[in-house]
This record gives sequence, C-alpha cells and structure tokens, in this order.
Amino acid sequence: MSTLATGGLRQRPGLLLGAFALGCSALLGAGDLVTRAEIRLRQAEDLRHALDQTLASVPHDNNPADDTVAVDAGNGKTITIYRARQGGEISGVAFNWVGEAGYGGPITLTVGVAHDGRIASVRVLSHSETPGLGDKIDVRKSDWIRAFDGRGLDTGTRWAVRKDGGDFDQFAGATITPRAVVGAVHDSLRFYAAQRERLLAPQAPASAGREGEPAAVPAKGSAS
Amino acid sequence: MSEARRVIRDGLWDNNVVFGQMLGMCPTLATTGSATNGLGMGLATTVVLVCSGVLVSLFRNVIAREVRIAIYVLLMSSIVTLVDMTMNAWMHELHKVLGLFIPLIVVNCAIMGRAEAFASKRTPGIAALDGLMMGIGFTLALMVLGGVREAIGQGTLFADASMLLGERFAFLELRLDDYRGVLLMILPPGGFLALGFLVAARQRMLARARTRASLTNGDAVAGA
Repeated sequence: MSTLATGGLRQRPGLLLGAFALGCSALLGAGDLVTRAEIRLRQAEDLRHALDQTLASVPHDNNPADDTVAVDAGNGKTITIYRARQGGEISGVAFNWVGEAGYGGPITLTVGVAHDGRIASVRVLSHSETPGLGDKIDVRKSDWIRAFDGRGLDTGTRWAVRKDGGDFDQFAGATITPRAVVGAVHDSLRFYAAQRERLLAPQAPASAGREGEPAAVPAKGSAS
Repeated sequence: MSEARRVIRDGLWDNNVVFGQMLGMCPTLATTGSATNGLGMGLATTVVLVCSGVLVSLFRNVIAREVRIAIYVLLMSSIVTLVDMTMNAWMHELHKVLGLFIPLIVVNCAIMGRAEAFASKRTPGIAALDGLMMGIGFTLALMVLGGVREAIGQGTLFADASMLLGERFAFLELRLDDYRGVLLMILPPGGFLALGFLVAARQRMLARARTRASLTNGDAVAGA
C-alpha cells in the first residue's frame, strides 16, 4: 500500500511537493502550538526584567508590566507605556524607544523616566552594532549607559557626545553608536515631556481593572 | 579507509565546508567578528545540518528528481523555524545570544549542498554522521576565522564566551592589554582578508604535502 502510494506520488511531482508542503506546515503548526505559551512566558519575563532594571530607582508597589497605556507617537506608531505606581500615584513610567540608526541599524532602548521627568535608567533592548566597538552600549559589557541616570531636559545636560561638544563619552573607534543612543534618549525625553499630561493622567489603568484596589498598598521592595 | 573515517576526514579537513568547498560564505563572513560569534553560528548550523541530513536521507526514495530542490528548501526552512521556536521556548538565554544567527542558517548553501551531494544517496546513519562532521568542521573554521579577526582587530579571544556558554566558560576569555586593535579586521573587509590568508595557508600546506608524497613515490620508483 505504501509503496503503491509513494510510487503514485513519484509519478506526480506536483502532488508530492504539495504533500511535503502540507506535512511541513502541519509540523510548523504543531511546533507553534507547543511552544507558543512557553515563548510568551519567556517574553513576559524579559519585559519584567527590563522594567525591573529601568525602574529600579523609582519607588513602586505595582507590577508595571500589567499597568499599560498606549500612546500615539505621531508617526503612525503607538508606544506602550508601562506605569509604575506607589500607593496608586504614578511614580514613573518606562517605554521602549526605537532610536535613529546606529552603525548597524536601529537601536531599541528601554527608557525609564521618573515622575520629575529625569531618566531613572536606560537599557539597550536590541541592537546590531559592531561587536567589540559599538556594543559597549550594552550594560553587560560597559557601564557607559549609566551616564544617563538622573539626567533630564532641565538638568543643564548637553545632549551630545564630547566630540560634538556634549556631556557624553564616545568610544575609542566608535562615535556613531553613542551619538545615536544619546540622540535617542534625548528624543525619548522630549516625547515624555510632550505627552506628560496624558502619561501621568491620574485615572486608574483601563487594562487591568484595578479600580477597586485600595489606594494605600504597603510598599514592598521599593527602596531598591 | 572505512566509509565513516572518510566522512569524518572530509568534514573536518579534506572537504571542509569553508576552506574546502567554499560554501556558506554569507554566514561565514557576516558572523565571524569574534570567535564566540563564530562558535555560536557553527553550533546552530550543526544542529540543522544533522536534522536535514537525516530527513533528506529518510525520504530519499520518495522525493522525485524534478521537485527535489523545492522539497529540500521546504524541509530546511521548516527545520530552521522549528529549531528557532524550540530554542526560544526552552533555551531562552541561549536564544537571546544566538537568535540573531538562526534565520541566517537558511541562506547557508552548505546545507543544500550536503543534502544534494550526500544525504540524498545514503542511509540516515551515515547522513547524520556527515551532517555532524560537516557541522563541526564548519564550527572549527568559523572559530579560527573569528579568532584571527578578533585577536588582530581588538586584541581579545573568545570575548563574552561566558554569555554564550555560561559562567563556567569564562576562562576562555583572553584579553591583550594596551593593544589598540586594527578596526578593519572586525569590519566586513577584514572577513575577506582573513579568509583569503587562511585559504592560502591551507593551500600551501596541501601543496607541501603533495610534493612530499610525490617525492617519496619517486624515491620508491627510483629504488625499484
């Protein structure tokens, strides 16, 4: 039976190809079903980790990953804002910001901004800069990215690399990457300033249905 | 020489994917900015080579000649996608480091080459061995190429290996202090330069071995 079937298929290459396409699609579908939930979990962990890092200096007692609001960034893109709250009051926000191109393509940052409009912390989420040169923007390889902590539009910071007369170091052999990151952080702060009213709107988050939650939740681990 | 030994020798040296067959140049040149990146790309490719070898060999009597290339492409892209999803779900940390390379495996014509030239004519066992050996040969070649570029380019070897392999492998990381590096070697032209010199060195070794072999043969003839 099977030899008959395969013999028949061999005579009809179109059918054979179709059968393989069907088989492969079924395999991919099954693979997706099996891995989808797990991948989503991992991505949620990644997001949580990024938010923990960028909002570490912002006191909060909620889970910012569950407290989101989507804001129109103007050019047809919407940006998801993660809000940190302390006792119901917004104490800071974090969001992903796709910056202008570095040396190897766009650089995506996670920017944490405290309530007063100053940078809490910035981390690079993804980039494709030259290994060994531009990748010093990654906190695992260099502390450079911490230079943004505490800076804001009102702190007298010159938002450029030293070569351009600014306050931020460039790397030996690489100026384009740090220049792109400084520009992106500056842009993200201006975006925050322009949208501040909407981001900090006191209404409870629509997404998580937390209206009924008591306003004064005891702070846990917020001193970090 | 037994068939298995022949296959092992071919994969590692005689018919090495990079230095012998000159296949898979896109991932070879693109990912060998450092030895660690070369190792990562090589490992991911090895997994796909073994899987595609076994599958193509299993179906070798079913696949009609007219549509074989299309079917190989289907099989390989499915395997690459499945590997990508599996790693993303259960080896997430590794996926974050290697994730960049996995889609690149699809464009590695060495995989197509082995399917067409070897796996489609042999039994699954020997096809798996061939995939494994070709993969290890590819990995070694990428590590050497990446190592040369990294050492000359920035004076390190296996930088960030602990990010790929875990903290236990941090001892692999070497650093030459006070070395400014030759940026060119890390940038794309350095890939072509290093590859050219390595291929030339291998050719020289082969030519020497040939001369020696013909000399000893000549002696034997003269002595007879």
